[in-house]
Amino acid sequence: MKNGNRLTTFRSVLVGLSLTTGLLALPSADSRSGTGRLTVLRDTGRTAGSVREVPVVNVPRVCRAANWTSAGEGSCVHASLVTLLRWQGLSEHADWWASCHAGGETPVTLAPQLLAAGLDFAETRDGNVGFLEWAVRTRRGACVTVQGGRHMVCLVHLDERRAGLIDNNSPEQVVWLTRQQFLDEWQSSRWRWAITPVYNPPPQPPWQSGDSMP
Amino acid sequence: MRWVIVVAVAALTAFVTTSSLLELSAAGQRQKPHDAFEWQDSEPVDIERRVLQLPEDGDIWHTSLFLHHGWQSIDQDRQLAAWFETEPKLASLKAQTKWHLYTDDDPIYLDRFRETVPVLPAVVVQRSSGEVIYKASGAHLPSRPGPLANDITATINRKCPGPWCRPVPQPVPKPPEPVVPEPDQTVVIPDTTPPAESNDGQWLLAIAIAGIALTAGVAYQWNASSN
Repeated sequence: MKNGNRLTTFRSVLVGLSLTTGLLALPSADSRSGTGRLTVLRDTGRTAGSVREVPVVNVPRVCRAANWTSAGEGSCVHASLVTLLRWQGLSEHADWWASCHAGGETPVTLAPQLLAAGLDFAETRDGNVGFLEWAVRTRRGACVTVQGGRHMVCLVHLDERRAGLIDNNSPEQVVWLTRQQFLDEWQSSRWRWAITPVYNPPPQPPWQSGDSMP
Repeated sequence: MRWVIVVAVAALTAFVTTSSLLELSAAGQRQKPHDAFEWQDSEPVDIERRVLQLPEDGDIWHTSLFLHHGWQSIDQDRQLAAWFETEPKLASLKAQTKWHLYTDDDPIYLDRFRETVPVLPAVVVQRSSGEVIYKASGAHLPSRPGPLANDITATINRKCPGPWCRPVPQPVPKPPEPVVPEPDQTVVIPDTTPPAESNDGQWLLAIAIAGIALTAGVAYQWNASSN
């Protein structure tokens, strides 16, 4: 009788183990159905922030707006804004903006126009370098004042050593300065103003694991 | 005489105020010519309220849909775009990544993707670094939304099968010197081969449990026979 009880217990254990094994061997619910949610959508740690492009905001040349004049005034603010709108996926908005905006602008005059157009933007008017670093880190770029505040260009790169600018007066090329040269230039401009649309820049050029470089 | 002056000042004030208001109301329609960079210290209150929490979204993955120009009238392209609205997993993917829809006449496509993604329509899922996690294009695209969603999910799970492959924050080494991509180095990115569904980890666990059970059985029998 004692042996019989032990045998029953042993068989129960075996059945339990077998059932457990079988359940574990089944495909997971997520892989069986098409309704599971994806969760791996953000890079962290070492894989994060691995920007491979130089400049970081590598605006195609055809998207770079050249400055235009209106009643004798340049439109550097609008040209810079149009460049970044195109980069951030708002080409139609950019073309519309260019078609009906011209002339000089200030932080005070531009903001209401952006609001009226329903465009999201972020800006600093006090020379906050962290804002520039954020704008480049998220690959959005920023329109920044230079030449004492008389001109605006696009900041397309900023790292520990250097800064890259696209000047709408000669947008074909990226102008490189040392980081300190640029920051001095920006900080000494009248408003220390930087502004950027807040939309989605394109992905970096595609490459596959094993590729040496894109 | 005093009344004349008062009336004149009031009229002038009303004129200036009205003009200013009219100018403000027209600002959103068409910019008026004005002196460049005329600075005003007073700033509209509603502007100050638009202080944004700057999105730290530089590390978010990207999902790109590449379609032909005029895709709305092309069946395969239109259906593919619709799947990302109606299929729950694809809609979830769209919502949780940076979403892009480029047509083959878009300057961004022509400049950055034409050489690596030449066959359209195409779906590409990329890490923030640009690494392609999933790509399917043309005839290799599944013909139904469910299989497409499952292919993407399976590929993501294969390349990042569990928490252990998601790096934990740690001191970041000095990044390598960036290299400017050269156009003649670009090659077409092949479509991702959807992996067979694999449950390697679960099978290993199952085998281990079966081994334990077998060992227990042998031990029991040995113990019983020795008694």
